[in-house]
Parts: sequence; C-alpha cells; structure tokens
Amino acid sequence: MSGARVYIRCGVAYVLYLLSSLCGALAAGPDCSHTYTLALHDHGLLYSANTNTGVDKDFADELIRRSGCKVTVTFMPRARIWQLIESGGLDFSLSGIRNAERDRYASFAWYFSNKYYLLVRKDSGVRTLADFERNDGLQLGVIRSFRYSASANRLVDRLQGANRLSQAGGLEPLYQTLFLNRIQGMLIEPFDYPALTEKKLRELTNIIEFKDPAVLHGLIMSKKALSPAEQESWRALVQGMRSDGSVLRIFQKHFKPELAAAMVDFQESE
Amino acid sequence: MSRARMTLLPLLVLSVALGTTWLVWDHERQATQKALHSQFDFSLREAVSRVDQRMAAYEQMLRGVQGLVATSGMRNIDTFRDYVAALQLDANFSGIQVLGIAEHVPPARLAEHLAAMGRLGYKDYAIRPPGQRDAYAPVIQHEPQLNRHRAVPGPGFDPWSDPARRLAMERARDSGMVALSGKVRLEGDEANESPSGFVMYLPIYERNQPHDSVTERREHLAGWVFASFHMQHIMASLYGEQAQGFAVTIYDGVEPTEAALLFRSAENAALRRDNALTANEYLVVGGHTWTLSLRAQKDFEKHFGGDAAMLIAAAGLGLSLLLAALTWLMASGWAEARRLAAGMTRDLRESEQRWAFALEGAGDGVWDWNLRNRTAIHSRRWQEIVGSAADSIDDWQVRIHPDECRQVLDTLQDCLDSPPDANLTWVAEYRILCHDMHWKWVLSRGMVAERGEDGLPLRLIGTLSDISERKALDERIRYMAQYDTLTDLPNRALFFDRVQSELARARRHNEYFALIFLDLDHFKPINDNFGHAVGDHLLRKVALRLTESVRKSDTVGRIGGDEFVVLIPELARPEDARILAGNICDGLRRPFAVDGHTLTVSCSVGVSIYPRDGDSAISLTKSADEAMYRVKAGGRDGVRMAETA
Repeated sequence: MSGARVYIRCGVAYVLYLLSSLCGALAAGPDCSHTYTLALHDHGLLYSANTNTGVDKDFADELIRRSGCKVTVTFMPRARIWQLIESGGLDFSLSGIRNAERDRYASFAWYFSNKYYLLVRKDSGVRTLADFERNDGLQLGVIRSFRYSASANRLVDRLQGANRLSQAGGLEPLYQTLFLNRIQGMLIEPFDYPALTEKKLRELTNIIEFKDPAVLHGLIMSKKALSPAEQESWRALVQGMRSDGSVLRIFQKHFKPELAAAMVDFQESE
Repeated sequence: MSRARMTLLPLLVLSVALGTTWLVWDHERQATQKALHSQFDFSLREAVSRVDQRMAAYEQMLRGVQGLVATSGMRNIDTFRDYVAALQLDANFSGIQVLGIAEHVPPARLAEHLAAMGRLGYKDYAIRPPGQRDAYAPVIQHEPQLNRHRAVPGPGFDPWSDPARRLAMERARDSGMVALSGKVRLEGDEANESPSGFVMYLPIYERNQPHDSVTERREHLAGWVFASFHMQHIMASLYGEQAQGFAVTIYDGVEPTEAALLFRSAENAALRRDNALTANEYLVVGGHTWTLSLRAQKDFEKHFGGDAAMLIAAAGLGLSLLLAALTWLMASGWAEARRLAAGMTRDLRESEQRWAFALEGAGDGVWDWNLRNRTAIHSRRWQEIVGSAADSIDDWQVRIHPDECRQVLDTLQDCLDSPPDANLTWVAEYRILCHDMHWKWVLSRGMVAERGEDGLPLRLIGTLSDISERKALDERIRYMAQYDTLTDLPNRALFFDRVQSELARARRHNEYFALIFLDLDHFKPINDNFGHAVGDHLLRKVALRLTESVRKSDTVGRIGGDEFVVLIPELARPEDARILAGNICDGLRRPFAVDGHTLTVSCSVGVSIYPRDGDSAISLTKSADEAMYRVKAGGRDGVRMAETA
C-alpha cells in the first residue's frame, strides 16, 4: 500500500512538474497572436540581397522557427530600418549596435561582437588613423545611419563636419567608389572579409584596426512596437540560441571556426 | 606720453579689436559652415529618403502585381489588365511607364510559347529582337497598352536580349527579391532621345514549387513582373518639395558621367561650376546603385548661411576703427592735458622760484609750518640766517630769546585765533639763538595759509628777515642822541633827563643831591699847541678819570667842549659834595700821558646842592654854573659851592 502511495505521489509530482514547465515555457515564449515584421539589410556576409542568404537570414529563420510566430521578413536600407524601428513601424532587425540615441527607441538582445577596421587605399599614403584624418583630400565612405566603435564614430563625426564623408545605402557602391578612388577609405567589419579575398582589392588596400574593444551586435527590438515583457521573451529566445550553440553554428557556417568562436564569445556586460 | 606710445596705443587697441573681430567672425563663419553642412546633409538625406521611399512604394505595388500573377497565372490577360486598371496609376505614379509580365522561355519551350501567344489572340506575335539565344524572356503583356506619353509597341520584346535588363532579371531570379536594371532605353522611347529609363523586376516562380535556394529558384522560374520607369517622371512625382537652392543629379552606377546620367534637375543650369557645397550619396535600390549628386546653389547658402559673418566682420571692422580713433583721441587728449598740466606746473614752479628768488634776494627766509604735526619746512635762506635747520615749530620756539618769547608767542596766538576773514598778519621782532650761540635780531611775518573745515588754522607760512643790522643802527642812533661820541659820556640831553629823574626822586624822598659843573682850565692852548687830536684824546682821558673818581651811582656828562657835569644823587650831607668835588679836582691835577706828551690840566668847579641851591634843573644849573665862573674869576683851579641868594 505504502509503495503504491509513493508511486502516486511521484506521479502527481511529475505531472505538476510537467505542467509548471509547460506554463513556464508558455510564459517565456513570445505572444504569437499577431504577425511580426523583421527587416534585413544588405551587408556582406550578414545578408546578401542578391542571393537572399547570410548570417542574419539564417539567424532570422532560426529565431522565427523557435518563436513559432509568423514574421514577415523584408529587405530595406539600414537608414530606413532605423527610422521604422524608431517609429514602431518595424518590430525587429538584426545585427544592431547601441548608442545613446538608439537606446531611446530600441532594445537589444546581443548575439555577437566584433571589431571595426579602416580599409584604406595604399596610394593614399595613410599608415595610421590620424594620417587619414589629417589629410583633407581624403574622403571616407560609410553606410548611412551606420554607427561603429567609439573612435570610429569620432572619426566619422569629425569628417562629417568637414564634408569629407561619402554616404551610401550599401557596401557595394563603397567598394566601387574605392576602386575609382572617389573615396580613399571605408569602415569594414568581419562580414566584409570575403570581399577582401579578391586579389584586386587586396593589392589596392591596407587595413588599419581601431583600438576599441569589440562592439556588441544584437537583435534590434522596437520599444514602440514591443512591450518590455515581449522584449524579454524575445531576448530569452536569443539567449537560448546562444546557450545551445545555435548562434555559434550559424556563424561557423559563414566564418572560419576561430573567427566565429571569437565573435559569439562575449560578456553581456560589455 | 611719448609720441611713439601715443601712436602705439591706438594701434594696439586696433589690433586687439580686429583680432577679437576676427575670432568672432571666424567662430560665426565656422558655426555657419557647420549649420550649412548639417542642413546640406539633412537635405541630401531627405532627397535620398524621398527617392528611396518612392521606390519602396513602387516595389510594394509591383509585389501586388507579383502576387496577382503568381496566383492567377501568367497568361491571364484580362485579370492582369483589370488589376492594373484598378491600381489607378494616375499622375501620382507618372514615373511608371508600363507594368508588364515577361515569361521565362527556355529555347526548348519556344514553339510552345509562340503557339500559346497565338491562342491568346496575338496573331502577329514575334519575339523581338529575333535570333537564337540561350533563353528568352519575352514580354507577354504590358499595361497600359497606350502609355500616357507615347505609344508602346505590342508584346514580344525580349528584355533578356538586353544585357542591362538581363542582369537585373537574373538578380531578381536568384534572390527572389526586387531588382533594378541599369539605365536603358525603354521601348517606345525616341531614338534621338537620351534614355533615362530603368526597369524594376520581381520574379514569378512556378506555383507549389520550392524556391528556397538559388538552384531551386532558377529551376522553378516562371517569369517576371516588371515596371518600367522614366527617372525624370519619378523625380517630378515625388511627394513633398525639394528644398530651395539645390540641384539634384542622378547617375546610374557610381560614376557621374554623362553616359550614366539619369536625371538632372532644372536648377543645375543656374549653378556655378565652382560651387563649394556638393556631395554624392550612393543609393542602393533593388540591388542597383544610383549616385545622387546634390549641389547647393547660392540661394541655399544665402538662405541657411545668412550674412551674420559678413555683418560681424563689417560691424567689427567699423567698431575697431572707431575704438582706435577714440583711443587716439583720448590718448592725444590726455597727452594734451598732461602737457598743459606740465606747463602749468612749470609756470607755477617758475613763479615759486621767482618768489623764492625775490624773497631770498631780499634776504628773507621762508618758513612753512604744519600746525597739525608741528613740522616746519625752512628755506635755505632761513637756515643761513639761523645757522642751522629746524625741523619743527618747537625747535624754533626754544630758540627765541626769553625777553621776547612771551610777546612773540602771544602775538602768534592772537594771529591764529583771529577770525578767518580777518587775514591777520603776524609780525614779531625778536632775538633768535643762532647755531654759533649768538643772538640775532630777526623779524618774522606770517599768515594762515590753510584752515580746516572748522576754521581752525592748519598751516602757517611766512618769512624771516635778519634785522640785526637795523637793530644795531637803531641802537647807534639812540646812543648818539644820548651820549657824547668823543668821550662816551652822557650828553646834555641824557644828563638832564637823569637830573630830572633825580629831582623827582629827591623830592619824593626828601633827600639831597649835588650838581657839579666843571670846566678845564687853559684847555684851548693844548688844542692850539698839540692839535685837536691830542686835545680830543686828552678829553677822553679826562672823562675816564672823572668816571673813575666818582661812585657807580653818580653820572658824569659832557655838555660842551671842555665842560663836564657830574650828578651826585642820594647825598647824605651837602658838605660831602665839596669833598667829592675836591677829590675830582685832585684827580685831574695828576698829569696825563697823551700821544707821547705829558699834559697837566686843572679845572674850575662849581657845586650846587638840592634843594638848598635850587629846586629845579635850571636853577641848580644856574647856581653851579655861577659858582664855577666864580672860580674862574678867582683864578681857576678850585672848587666853589653855590651861593644861595
């Protein structure tokens, strides 16, 4: 009799555990009662509109799969993405970095970090970042609305004041204008490395590293579109993807293993 | 102030003012430039954004068409026409030339395609341009049939044959996303017209077939929906207004060449070539790059730049010059004032020097007393008179002769106490103790030079004159009036003054006194024989012997050439006068050694006694004189008492 009781108690406890786990999972998961919107932007290995592939595409697919929600994925320029995130017209985007202004209207769930580099034409005679800033004849190409690490941002802001920025809606025009010597430098990230494998570009340019720490990148969530609770549930999803190695696997698909590991291995406090 | 400093100061002020003006002007210019750049960048971003959004709207519209074709089939001509008609592509969408469908036709399916088109009623349908190719993508329908700008040829044009279009179609096919062609000449464009068209493609995949990878997408491609545009119409149909003063140019690709020109706004014609503000932005639309070139016109700079910097420069320059001029005026005015003051000071000093010279020339010393701290300033002449310097009033005060000190200080106090408007002058004669410990007669004159608010004197100035010579002269005159200059004996006037005094005293005390008249016997021959000098010398010796032979209280006087008188006061007995007169005669009988001569004289003496022989000077004189003449008459050299009548 006592043995049966024990079994019954164990059974009840197990059922309760299952129920509580289910409730917890339900509570942690996002609210899928409506369709979400997510925008990608064309940026090297992050996403290529030409092939509709990239890190962000894979990340978006996995995130959507895990959420179980319907998410409309669109493609648009980065500047437009930030405008819509701010207005609440867009729920998500990927690979965003924070700054004081963006913190007002966007929340982030970090999943990788990387450093920034200045890709500069060899014939410009630039050896250091200061060389580039000193020479008034040099133009820097940037993608509109992109922000970078602290010293890279300072360089961009100073050149902007001196009317020495050429802005573009994507990377491709920057490479083209770099070849044409209409700009002499551009800011790049590890996603842009494949372009550097091109012999022509390697022969033409040098890479100068900004001495800033790696900058966190993450899922961008519009504060206007998503409540804090919803943001938390999506952040939990991203955390889950990091914990179970999904993020690392996605990066390994596109980068060399060491670089992939270095990019996804970061401390949240950064 | 030297002339150099007078010139340098305005120059310095001018430099500082101009420097400040330059700083403010430069700051304003930089701020204006910054604002200008900021506004320019904003305008550029806005221009790009407007184009971007317009293209996004077109993409969205084309996605609708894509959805329709994907679901209703590619050759559903009526449905497509109705759908396009329902879109109401009015003037707002005037950039769109046509919306159409291009079918993907591999060579193997070419015959089937032509047959199908025939069945749809296109009797003369043919693929343009003709020729063998690896694939075909003929336009099977486009709407509207009649473009609002020009007639569009019927179906059959194969965009796949045009490399620019084909590139975009391949990109759309591989990505499943919208793709934009480069600059193309649209069907129906005039041959001599510069082409500014481009085409937007979206792929149509076969229904119910996977198209997740590039391979699958290529494999299951059914065709494309497309929209063709003229850039100038798109730009004309943009919402909102382009800010004033900008010229927009759009090039296909990243090279701003005439061949790549898609659009040039009318404002470009008005632009100067050397316009400073110009920027390019590279738009990526549908995977294709456009260069949007923005140039600011003068209007823009005027509107946003403002003329504040110029105003500051002009105002600053004017104010700087004004300030420099003012400084010059002040400096020169100050210099003039200083010159005048220096002149006045010089005049005053000269005047003072003249006064000092005059005073000192007159032999007067000058003193200046500060009554508050009792200090004194004395001129060089003052110090010469006294023989030393005195730094204070007290130094002066202790040098005053005790006989005059009281009177001097009293008169000084009277002067100080006098009412301010009395302008009383203090005058005092006194002896002052000189450095060599001798007394010197001086005359001080002074007056109050400064008074306090309460009217009390604060400062006294004056002169000090050395009057010792005058005093000595006065004394000499006084002496000469009372004494015989030859013998230094009292003369007639002084002698009879004393007789009067003695008369009064004797009357008061009821006493006796005697008056002796004495005349030398045979004095004239001495003068005649030995000369007047010897005679005079003898007279002085006689006088001396007479003085020696009487009491201190007695007075010997000389009243004529060889006539002497003696006053003997306080006579105890009248007989004593005879004894005394006898003694005098005895004394004179002794020989005198005069200038190497031994002379012997005698004298005739008459004596009168008060009150027995007279009670007045005249009567007593007369009595004594008569007694003396009786001696003369009796043979000289003797003494006779007056004979009372």
